[in-house]
Order: sequence, then structure tokens, then C-alpha cells
Amino acid sequence: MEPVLTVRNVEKYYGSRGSVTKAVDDISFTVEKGEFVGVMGASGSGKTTLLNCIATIDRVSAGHIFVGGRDVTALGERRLSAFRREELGFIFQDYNLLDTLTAFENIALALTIRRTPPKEIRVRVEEVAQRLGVFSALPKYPYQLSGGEKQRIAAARAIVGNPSLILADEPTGSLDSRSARVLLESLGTLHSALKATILMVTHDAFTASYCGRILFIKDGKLFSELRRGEAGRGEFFDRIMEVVSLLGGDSAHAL
Amino acid sequence: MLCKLAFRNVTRSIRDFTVYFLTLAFGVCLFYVFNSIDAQQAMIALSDSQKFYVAQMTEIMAYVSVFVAVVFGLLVVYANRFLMKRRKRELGMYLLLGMERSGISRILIAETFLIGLFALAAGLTAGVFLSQIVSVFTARLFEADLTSFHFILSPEAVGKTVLCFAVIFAVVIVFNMVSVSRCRLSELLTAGRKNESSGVRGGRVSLILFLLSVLSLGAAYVWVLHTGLFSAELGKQIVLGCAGTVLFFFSLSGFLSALPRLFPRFYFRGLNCFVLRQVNARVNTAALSMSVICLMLFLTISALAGGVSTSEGFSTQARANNPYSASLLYYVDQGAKPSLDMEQQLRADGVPYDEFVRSSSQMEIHTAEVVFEDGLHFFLEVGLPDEEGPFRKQGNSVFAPFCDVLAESEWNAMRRLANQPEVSVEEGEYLLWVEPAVAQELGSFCASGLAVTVEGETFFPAQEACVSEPLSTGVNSIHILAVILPDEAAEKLPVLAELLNIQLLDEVEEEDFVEVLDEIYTRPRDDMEKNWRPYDQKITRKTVMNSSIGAKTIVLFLGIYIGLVFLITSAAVLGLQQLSETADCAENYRLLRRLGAKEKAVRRALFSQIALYVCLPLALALVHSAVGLEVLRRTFLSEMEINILPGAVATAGVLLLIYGGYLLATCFAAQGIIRSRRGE
Repeated sequence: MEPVLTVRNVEKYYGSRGSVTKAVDDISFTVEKGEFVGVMGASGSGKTTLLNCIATIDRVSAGHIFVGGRDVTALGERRLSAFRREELGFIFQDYNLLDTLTAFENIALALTIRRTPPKEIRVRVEEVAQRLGVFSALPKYPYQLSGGEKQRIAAARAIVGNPSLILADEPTGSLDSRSARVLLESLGTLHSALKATILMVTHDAFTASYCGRILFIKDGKLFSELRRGEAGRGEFFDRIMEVVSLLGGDSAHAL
Repeated sequence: MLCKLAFRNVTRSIRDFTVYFLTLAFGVCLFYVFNSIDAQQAMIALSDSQKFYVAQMTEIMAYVSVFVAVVFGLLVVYANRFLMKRRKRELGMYLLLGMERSGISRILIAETFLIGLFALAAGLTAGVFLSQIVSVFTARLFEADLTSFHFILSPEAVGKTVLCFAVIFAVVIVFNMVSVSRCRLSELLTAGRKNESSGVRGGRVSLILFLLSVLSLGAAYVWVLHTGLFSAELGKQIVLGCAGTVLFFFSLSGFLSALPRLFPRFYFRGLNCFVLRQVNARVNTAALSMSVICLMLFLTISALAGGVSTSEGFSTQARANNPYSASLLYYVDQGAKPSLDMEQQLRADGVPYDEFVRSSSQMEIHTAEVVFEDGLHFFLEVGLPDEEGPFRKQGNSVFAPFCDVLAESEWNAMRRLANQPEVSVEEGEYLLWVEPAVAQELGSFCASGLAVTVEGETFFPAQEACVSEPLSTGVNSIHILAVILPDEAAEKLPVLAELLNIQLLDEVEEEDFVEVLDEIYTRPRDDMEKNWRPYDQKITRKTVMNSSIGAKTIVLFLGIYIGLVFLITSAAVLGLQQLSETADCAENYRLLRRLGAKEKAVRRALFSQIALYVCLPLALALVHSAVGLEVLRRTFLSEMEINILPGAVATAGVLLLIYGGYLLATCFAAQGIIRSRRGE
């Protein structure tokens, strides 16, 4: 089967000639349809830069990224917005909801941008909200919602357009542990029930333990990979912690 | 080092400063142009009476300029506050880096100084060039010739402008220093965070408010249209109109939030819902400032269109009111001086009459005791009669002890001279001439068929309508009304004055005729006592026209000046508000891009948002102005015919140019703001 996401030899440099910093240094991996992949790494490891490159917010310095078989590094500015609109869904750490719009309208915005017929909008928004357990929050404004509700609204906005890939950047970063758990369980449902493909960046092992596979990044390079397989979440968490302690340890020892 | 930083700050954020700079430069330019009118007349050939009007206008402009300076002062302080708000984080960063507050103050002073200097230079340059065009315009208004076109720079006006704006900048600097010394570091650094928006009023409350506003506006319109401009109720009407305006903008947000239910198809298309919500959130918090701007725009449009239209009216009115080239009035004083044939006397004194005069006609103004039988209530309507005056109450009638009486044939001769239709008065009949201002009220006296008794003889109206075409040019020979009687009845009455109306030949200049008269009658003469003339007053049409041109020019210039000041003020305030709002919402636009909205769509969303916000007050102001101008037209209907169209067209042009220009400049700057946040 064609993978949803293929990252091939991607590099991203900052700075000019003479003093080059490699934020992402020759990373390659693929994500199959229906996978829930986590990207872990310490601050400054380059995981957010990698996500931004996949999200087409940032341009790669070298290498290729294929989403649904299309090379996004070769797309022009005009095609890029169409690509973002149709193929990607975003969940940000700080929700990024528009505070002038109600929750319903925030979700609907993702649909109106791609010119979905108004009749269809209500049905789809309500269905997604139902699934994420935020149906009652729909008529409210963001400032009337709790952090967890806001993030689930943001998740609903990411999923409502049926994107082929959902990108989440530290989605639990601003949440208390209970809200984080609710959100992650919702994401899990999306993943299993809707066969959504999710790529999530996090530095939190608990959050990562909801994933099916985890990529560890260190100093811009792919450090190791961990598959959950048939293991329970608790067991997977312990295995993640092992790698994390390795990651955080002496680099010579780790490699 | 500080200067360098200040200079870099200004040049780097040139987009942010565009609107601010534009406003300052416009202000300086206007201020110079209207304060240099005095100097501009140097190249226009003006008569003495015209010079008097220019002097008067200069004086009025000086007073108005004080008011304008205050308005600009407030505007600049307001605009500066917006800029400061936008730069709080930057200032906080300076503080965090260890710069002292006095250092920051110095940077701000240097910046204000720099911008002020540039704006003054640009504004003055534009002003000097514009004032040359204005001189040509003034010359045309005065129907005078440009003696020689040369470049004029008024050092006095330059000094005044520089002084005025220096004071304004000084005030700005004081404000800045106070705000820098007051601010706390933590506030400065977190200033970039946006506030949560407040709640929206419920739909039902909004609906009631909206209905209330429509009702009060409608009531105010109908009322003021009914009473005219100068009624005792004007104050109440203004309050009602203002209240309606404020209510309108307060209820607007609720109305907008009802849109999704009313038009879901439109609402959920593209970025429409985003745009409407953005506008709605702002309308909610900015209802008051929008109302003020709407009222200011209303003043602008009224002042501009009203000024232009009324000044046109003055011209046509002056021509219609002065049907003769010249009028000479000679007081006989009931036999104190001999009655005389003025034309003969002029000829006898050596006036080359035929070289100048095409035709002329003389009329005697008689005086008599006249009783207007049962006419009391007609006179009461115009505030007459009074105790001791020329019209006195006598039971149900009005007694006029010194009423003016004209003979029918002489009066008709005057009509022929002015190309007006004649009206015959038979034996036992009378005709009433009344001043145009009271024609409606007193005119109905004839219509009701009431009689007048002149020296014991009774007459009845020859026709229902009274006449009120002017009897002479300029001179006020007759007070309020005159009775026109058949010749036999009039001629036996004592003569009060002789009136000679003259139509000059087409090729003759009125001034030349006046010069000849002046020369002959100031020359020492043997046969007569010194300074004796066969006339006591002489007025030519030109003199009257000049005074009306003076009045017209003052009205027009005042209208343009005040109108432009208000226009620039409201456009600048709106523009700055939009910019600061856009800066607060830059994050939202970034998000739209991330969600995959097309660059073009995002830009269009920003544009329509700003345009909506800018056009809402304008739309209501246009409705206000339409009513206002109609009121103006109706108020002056009896005195002159005002054609609103030229004024309206001119105003539309100015609005489009300046208001539209500000809208574009704002959009340009706003695009810059949302683009600069993109690269993160």
C-alpha cells in the first residue's frame, strides 16, 4: 500500500555559509495509512522543525517529502495552500482558536475555506463534535471553554475536513493531566474509528504512550524507533522511558 | 547612537507610520493653505470692497484655525497613543536590556522630532503648491483677473503653521514621557497578548435597540424637515439624531450576529463568517467611536456640500435680486427739498447720459396714512405690529402712519425696465408689494380680499397675489411693504423720495459710470452749494455682487476648511483603529493561512473587513447628510434657490479621494502587518 507520508533524506539548515546549523540532518521515514506516530526528542532536537517542514510552513534545504504520493517540496505557494486545505489538519499547542468565532464556527471555518456547501457543514461539524464529546460546547465562544474543550475543538477542526494526515504539535502541552488524558483518548478514537493518520510531536512520554509507533530524534538525526506492537499502554510507557533515559544520557554511550 | 536607533525605527516601520505621517502632512498642508489666503490676494486684482472681504475672511480663518489646531492636536495625541501601544513590546525590550527610561524618552523625542520634521516639510511643500491653485480659484470666485501669476510664499503662514505644530509635537512628547515613566516592565512585555473579547448582546435586546434607533432617527428626520433648520427645537432634534446614531451602532452587533440564522448560505461561504465575526467583535467595542465618526462625517459632508451649494445660491440670488445696473435714491423729505427730475438734473450737470445709459426710469415714493382693515392677524404672524413703529395695532386693523405708496404707471414702468410683466391697477383697487422674506405671511392679506384705507379712501385688491420683485438694486428704499395705487390716488400724496433705476449699455462698465458721477459731483461748483448732488445714495449691481461674492467666498472656504479637517480626522482615526486591531489579530490571519486559505482570499478578507468597518459610519452619515441638505434647501427656499447637485458631486469627489485614499493606505499598511508575522 502507498504510504501516506514519505520523508526522504530531509535536511534543514539555518544560518549562512560559514556557520551552518543543521536543525534536521538527513532524516528518512514513512508513515502508513491509519498509523498514529509520535515524534519524540528533547528541546532543540529538531522535531518541531521537521513537523513544520512536513506542514509546508517551512521549506526544506534538501530532500523530499511526499504526502499521498505528491512531492510537497516541489509545490508553489498557490498549490501549497490548496494542499494544506485538502490534505492536512493541524492541532497546535496553544489551540489557535479564533476568539471572535463560536466553537461551531471555528470548526466550520476549515470547511468553508474549501467551499463546502453550507447544508453539509452543519451535519459534519455536529458529527465530529459528537464524536469528540464537545457537542454541548458548540454554541460557546473560546473564552467560555476550558483548555481541554478548546483543544478538542481544535482537534475537531483538524479532522472535520477528512485530511489524509493530521499534524499535532505538542497538543497536550498546555493541558492539565486529566484534560490531556481525555484529549488523547479522543485522538485514539479518531485514529481507530476513522482510520485517521496522525503524526504527533511531543516531549512527554505519557502523551507518546498513546501512539502506535515512536520516532526518537536527537540533534537533528533519527536516533531510534519504537513499535508498540501488541503491548499494553503501561508496558509501552516503560519502554519509552528507557529510550528517553538513553536519549538524555551521555551521547557517546547512547550511540 | 540614540538618534541612529530612532532614525532606523522610523524608516523600518514606515508602513506603520504611513497613516500617521499622511495625517500630519495633510494637516500641515491645510493649515498653511487657509492661513495664507491673505498673502494670496497679492496676485489678484481686487477692488477695495473685495479687499475688505478678504480681510474679513482672513480674520475668520484665524479664529477657525485655533479650533482646527485643537482638533489636530487631539488627533495627533490619539494617533501617537496607538503607535505607542503597538510598540510597547519593543520599548519593554529596551528596558529589559538595561536602557534607562530617560534614554527611551530621548529615543521617542528623537522619533517624534524626525517624523514631525518630515511631515512639516512635506505638508508645507504641498501646501505652498496647493495655495497657488487656491489663488486661481479665489480669483475665479471674485470674478477678478489674475494680475500676474507669480509664486507666492507666505512667511507669516509658514511661521504660524510651524509654531502650531511645534506646540502639538511638544504636547505629544510630554504625553510620551509620561506614559514611559508610568509603564511597568511586565505590562510592556505582555502587551502583545490580545484581550479576550467581551460577550455579544442578546438578539432580542439588539432588535429592540435597533428598532428604537430607527424610530428616533426617523422622528428626527421628519421633525427637522418639517420645522426647518433654525427652529427653537433644533437642540432637541440634534439630541434625538445623536441618540439614534449611537443606538444604531450599539444594536448593529446584534443584528450582525443574527446573520448566520438569516443567511446561512452567505455566511458559511469562504471566509465570510470570519470577516463578519471580526467586524462584529469590533463594532461591539467601538460603537461609540463609530457613532462619533459617523457624526463627524455627517458634518463634513454637510459643510462641504452645503458650502458649495449655498455659495452657488448666493451668486444666482444676487443677480436676481438686483435687476438694474444702478439705482440712485434722492430723499425729498416731504417737501424739505424740491422734487426733481433726476435724469434731467444729471444731464444738466454735465453727465454724458446717453453715452452710458440704455434706458432709465424714475419713480416717486409717496407716503400716506394707511389702515389695513381687519389685517391684524396677518401682521401678527411676522411679529408686527409694535407700539411705536410704522405699523400699529388699531382694534382688529393695522394702522401705518408713514406707509410707502407707489403710483401704478411709474411702478409698471420699472417693471418694463426690468423685463418683468406688468400688472394693471384700476380705479378703487390696490396692489401690495412686500419684502420677499415676509411675502408668504403678508401676501395672504390680498388673497383674503381685505381692504386698505389710504387717507380716508378705501381700495380693494386688484389681484389675489402680492408682488415682491425687487424695486431697485441694492438700496433698501422701502420698508417691509408698499401700497401701489392708481395714479390719480397716488399723485396727490406727499413725496418721500425719488428713485431712479438705470440700465446701462452693455458695453459700458459700471465702474466708469460711477467714476463720471463721482468726478462731476465732487468738483467745486459755483452755482450750487458744495457736495450737492441729485442723489443721496448710488448703488451699482457690481457693488452688491461683490458683497455677495464676499459672503459666498467666506461660506465656501469655511465649509471646505472645516469639512476637510473633520474628514481627515475621522479617516485617520478609523485608519489607525483598523491598524491597531489588525496588529492585534495578526495571529488570526496567520492561522487562516495554516488552515490552507489562499493568500488572495486572506488578503480579500482583510480588505473587506476594513472596508466594512470604514463604510458603515459613512453609509449612515450619507443618509444623515441627504436629510440635512434637504433641510438646508427648504430653509433657504424663500430667499434663494439652492441646487444641491454641484455641491454633492464635489463632495463625492473629495470623499472618494481622501476617504478612499485613507482606506487604501490603511489596507496597504495592514497587509504589511499580517505579512510581517508570517515567517515564524
